[in-house]
Amino acid sequence: MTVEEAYQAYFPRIREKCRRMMQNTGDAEDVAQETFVRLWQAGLQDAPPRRVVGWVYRTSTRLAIDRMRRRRAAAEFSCEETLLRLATAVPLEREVAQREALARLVGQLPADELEAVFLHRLDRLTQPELAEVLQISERTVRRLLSRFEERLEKLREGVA
Amino acid sequence: MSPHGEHPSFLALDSLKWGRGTDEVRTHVAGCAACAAHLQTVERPVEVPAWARGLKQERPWGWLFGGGRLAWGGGLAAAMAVLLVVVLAPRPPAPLPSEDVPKPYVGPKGEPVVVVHVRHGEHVSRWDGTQPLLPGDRVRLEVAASGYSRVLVGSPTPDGGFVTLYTGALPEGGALLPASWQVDAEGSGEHLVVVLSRAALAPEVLRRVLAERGGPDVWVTDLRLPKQTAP
Repeated sequence: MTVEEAYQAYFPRIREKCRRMMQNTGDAEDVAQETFVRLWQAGLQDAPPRRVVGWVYRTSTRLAIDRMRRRRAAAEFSCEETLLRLATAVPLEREVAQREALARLVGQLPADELEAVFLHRLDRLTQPELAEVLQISERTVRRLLSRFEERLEKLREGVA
Repeated sequence: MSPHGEHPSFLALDSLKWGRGTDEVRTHVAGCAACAAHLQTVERPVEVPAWARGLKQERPWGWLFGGGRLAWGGGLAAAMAVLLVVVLAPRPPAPLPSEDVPKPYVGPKGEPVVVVHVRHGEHVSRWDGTQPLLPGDRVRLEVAASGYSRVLVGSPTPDGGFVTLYTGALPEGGALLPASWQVDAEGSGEHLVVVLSRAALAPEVLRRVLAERGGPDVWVTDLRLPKQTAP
């Protein structure tokens, strides 16, 4: 596959994926570009598309979390304050609230949990899809998501 | 379908192009304006920008291994990196005076922590995450990690390669790494990559880990240290 063909096939998907994760459009473009460059450098353009798309989801999520950590936006909010916003968001504002809240949690939760939560909540990945993309067992996926849900549940109970 | 109501995951939508996807997903897309709009967006032809076309010239990741003292430089090409490794006699980094050795870092349990110590003249301090380095400063890393037994420190090269600066065993709980690196006057910053793993990584595994920024039983982080070269 030529670089032009690889770009046409993968870059728009990478860019949309990054936009779902990141509030700052410039950051989203940067992460999308970095992901595509890595894809090309790793010689993945000729790999089976299923493998490439999984790789793109995994790698762009990690790069976005790295980028958000460097932004240090999380420092302005406490972990509890942010989780509470996520736990109590009403459906209409949930999508935006989730993206904002997850971005604030990047410095405060373990990376593996964040990766799973980003992919599950923003990209709507099912548990089998998460296991495939993150290359972990479905049991581990369930454990990561449960740990996050427990954090939210505790906060909901505190509010009620 | 995903657990988020009626829509399939974006992964399922993005995979439709290659003939993947269940009848359920295809039927959904046919009747869902939101999912159809997403597909329209990602399937619209786009102009390939110059930076992407430039990748044609780029070779796959190159791999250079070395050790000892290394003068970094943003403008160093891979060939120069090779020369540095060969020409500069590998020399154990000067140990920090014992009174300067920082106390063990205590971080949150579970997540590895990398602390950057900067020696400027006779003064050693923990890097605050923003303070620019100066040419001549020496940088040393302290890694606190539970469950990881190997550490590798390296730096990307301008041509898309990667040079390994240090690799070794990591004691339980972490350690102040024995290597240190002197900052040169080239470029506007230094970029270090720290890789923690449970076993030594073969070159092809390291390449994949770096491309994906992680992997099973591997933890990767980037350290970008700004540098002030003008007074």
